[in-house]
Amino acid sequence: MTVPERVVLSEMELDALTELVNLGVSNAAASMRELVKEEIILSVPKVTIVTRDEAIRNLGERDAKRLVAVHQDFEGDIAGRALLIFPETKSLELVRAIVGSDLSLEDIIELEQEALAETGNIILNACLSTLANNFKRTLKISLPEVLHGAGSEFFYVKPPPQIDDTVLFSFINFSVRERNITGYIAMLLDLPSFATLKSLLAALIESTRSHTAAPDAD
Amino acid sequence: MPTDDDISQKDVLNAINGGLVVLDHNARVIRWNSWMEFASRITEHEARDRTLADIFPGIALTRLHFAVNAALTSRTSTIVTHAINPSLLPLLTRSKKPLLHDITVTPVSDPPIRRCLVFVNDVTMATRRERFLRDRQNARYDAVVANAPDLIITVDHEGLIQFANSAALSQLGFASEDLVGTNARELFETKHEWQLVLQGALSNSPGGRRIDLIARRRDGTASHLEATASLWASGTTNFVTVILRDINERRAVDEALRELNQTLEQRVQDRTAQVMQMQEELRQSQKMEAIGQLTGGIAHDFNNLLQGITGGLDLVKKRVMQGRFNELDRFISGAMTSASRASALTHRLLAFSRRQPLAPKALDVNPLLGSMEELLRRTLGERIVFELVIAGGLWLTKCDPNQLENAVLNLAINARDAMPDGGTLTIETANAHLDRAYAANHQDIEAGQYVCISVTDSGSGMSPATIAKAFEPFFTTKPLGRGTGLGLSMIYGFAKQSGGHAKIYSELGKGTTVRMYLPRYRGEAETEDLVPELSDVYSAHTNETVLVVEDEFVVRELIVEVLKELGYSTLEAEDGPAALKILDSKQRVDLLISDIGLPGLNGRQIVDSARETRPALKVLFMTGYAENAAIAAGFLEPGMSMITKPFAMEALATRIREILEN
Amino acid sequence: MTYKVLIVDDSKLARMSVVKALSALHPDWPRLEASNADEAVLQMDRQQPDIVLLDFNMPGKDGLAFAAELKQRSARISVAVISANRQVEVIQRAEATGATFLAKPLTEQALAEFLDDAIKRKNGGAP
Repeated sequence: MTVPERVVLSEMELDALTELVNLGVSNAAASMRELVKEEIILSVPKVTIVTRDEAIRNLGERDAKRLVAVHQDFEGDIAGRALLIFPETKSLELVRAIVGSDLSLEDIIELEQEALAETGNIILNACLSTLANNFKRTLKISLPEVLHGAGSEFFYVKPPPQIDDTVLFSFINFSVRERNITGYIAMLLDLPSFATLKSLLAALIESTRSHTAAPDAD
Repeated sequence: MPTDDDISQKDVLNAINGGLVVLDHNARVIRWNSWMEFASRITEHEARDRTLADIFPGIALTRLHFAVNAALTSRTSTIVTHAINPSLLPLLTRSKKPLLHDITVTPVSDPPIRRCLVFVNDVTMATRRERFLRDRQNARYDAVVANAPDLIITVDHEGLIQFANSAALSQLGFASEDLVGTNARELFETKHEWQLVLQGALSNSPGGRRIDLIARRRDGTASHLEATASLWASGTTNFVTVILRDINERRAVDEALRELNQTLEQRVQDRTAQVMQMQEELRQSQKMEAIGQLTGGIAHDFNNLLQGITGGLDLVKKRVMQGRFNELDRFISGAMTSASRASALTHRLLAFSRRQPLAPKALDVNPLLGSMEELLRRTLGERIVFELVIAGGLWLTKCDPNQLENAVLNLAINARDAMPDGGTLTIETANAHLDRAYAANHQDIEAGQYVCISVTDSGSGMSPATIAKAFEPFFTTKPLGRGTGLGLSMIYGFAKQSGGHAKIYSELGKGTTVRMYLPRYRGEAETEDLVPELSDVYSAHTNETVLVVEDEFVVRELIVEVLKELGYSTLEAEDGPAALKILDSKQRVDLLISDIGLPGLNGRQIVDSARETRPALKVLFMTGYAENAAIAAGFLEPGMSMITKPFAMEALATRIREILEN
Repeated sequence: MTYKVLIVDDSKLARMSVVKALSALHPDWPRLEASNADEAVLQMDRQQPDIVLLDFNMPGKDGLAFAAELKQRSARISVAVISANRQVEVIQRAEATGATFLAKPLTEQALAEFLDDAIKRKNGGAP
């Protein structure tokens, strides 16, 4: 059996991926605004490619066992799991940012599940669909599910672990109602999917290049 | 024959317990099930081919719109929950109440067909029940927390504030938004203590220790709080609720109390000192007055006694010169007796004038009064008949003998002044029972057995008004310049201090009796030291050496002479340095006799210095009337003794023997 | 008449996308690119572009604030802020600074509208 080569994205491909995720997240902003009823600023600084274990480590040893995540699984030409992850302590912040701080602590805790589910739903949908649209592919995306636990749990539940699984990892910044919350976006892909992603990115870059060259000003 | 496979789509759709709407690629309705009809009151016919915005005008359906769009264009599924979006579609339950619902929008059919499914799920019951539960819990909790005077703050496991009750907000001067989300650590000055509170709760250690914290209010002032914290969990999330009790007031009260107490104590102390001072002065001036009164008589007495001494010695001198040696002993004894009496008188007088603290002794009042008889007769003069009636079997009492003498003397003087033309004065002693009835009728007296000393005169007497005030300090019926009117208050004070009582019986024109009741003492009397006779027992052992330190030449010589007579080897020094010169040498010194009050180094200082090289040095101090006996007594340590001047030589000899023998 | 266009976006892909649309509409217009605000300022000074297409979502810099800044430097330039973030507040703020809001991904049509409008203004047309 041939061992597939380790897939590596070029700098341009990584740039394109970051741009697509940013696009997705910006698209989500408008929907989020409807949820939050106030202006919201969302940004993703940079997408990095890491292994599962590196991703778990990025989530912080300290925060182990104290994370909350919204996940949606997707399938199609690329398949995998998309996650929006927050430290548990930040999630209540986020809920407050979404529903306002007038509610009691109990109500906030009550609403945490739904608020996270809807937020994750909007953002992950936006990211995944932006990718799909730009790649001119279709993806079937599940409804969101909220999980509490440690990073290892999120990345090792299902599908069964493959050593070559790759994670697209990034921070995501929320700024709403004068609160600033940082979470993580992660997309877990198996090796074939990652290879497909690479080729899709390459194709996108190609098609974006101008067909007619115009004089560049110097 | 219809089989199971023939079941129609429509039947299924209409049987589903939830709203089912299918939208085409233009977001127009192509399916609208019965449930939807019922809940929206819009029939399928009415809904068909219209958009949701069209069907439900005037409703903000933006979330739904976004979801539908996403499903149709991006094929993504969206959930829109009631919890976060309280009002979506205007649906009603069977009982016409608002139907609370979640909506899921999912793409349906495979591409290129674009359709989406809008599924409406009734969550009214669940929501209501949750809401009810939550409201009830919240109400119960809020009733406590919202109205609690204590500051209540809930933090997560990192210490980020999740909740602060109104007491906390108002006490600290913050709005909820300012606190929620910030680390509680920022609130406190005492960060270490805050950590203890938080960690204590997180580790779920039992005990509920109260820890004092200092918080900074928004305006910068400090607030003292006492914290107790407890851990609780919601699912897998841990929270800590901290109750902070405002102890500012308590502290302020404590502070104020402490200050008050301190000043109070101080004030009480000051007042007591004042009163004691006054009492002292009163006593003193009273004594001085009495002494003044007595001086005349005493001078007279002394003259007589001196006469006895000089006369006797004179006679002795004459006879010796004449070679007549018989009867010498008689004259010498006579002179000695006079001297002894003079000494006793001096003692008495000096003791009298000394500022002595109360020194209660168990004593028999009869002999004490007996010894005062002479003095009293002198005081009263020729015109007054004096009678002393002492009871047999008189109980013992415990009081300061000097004070008692003082009191009796005062009464005698008052009586004398009340009888300018003469009269009688009787002093009586008797055992007395004061019963409960008596005790009940009089202040501060307990029923029991007392020794009663009465002083009765046949003088002018006192009116009831005067009797009522007689024991008050400064109350006097005497004209200015004659008496300070303090005697009776001192007597009353003395009686009270001794655990007893004083009472006046008087009738105008008839006379006055003043009775002093002193509590019966059950025990042995402390008898005065008898003056022992000189005998061989008191002679020195071989080579015992005594160093005498005394600056007055005559007294020093006298002592040295007596010591030599007794067989001691003697050394002399007239001051500290001279004494130390001897003591620092290898010269044998068995006993040091020293005046306490020497110029330069005092006796005690000499001894302390000497004891560096002679730690076991035996010491006998001599104190004169200038020293306070009590203070002098305070000088003493083991191996040191004291003898008061003037002393009889026999007494000196005895003491020396006692010291050297021990 | 050609106009110099400056494209500011930290993503090369995004810049490429804009260039693609611009090429389709005005292939003869000179194009400048900058990947951050500092580079943009440099280009502004050196080349004096007439039109700036600016990404709203720039790291470490508020896109709208920067747009306002550019307007201040040179009042005659036309600025468009491009973003997928179609929140009403964002659009309003963009327009408050005198910039036009264009949705990302930039369609040729939207770009065409903006450029036509810009040309008109430069030629003293409607403000």
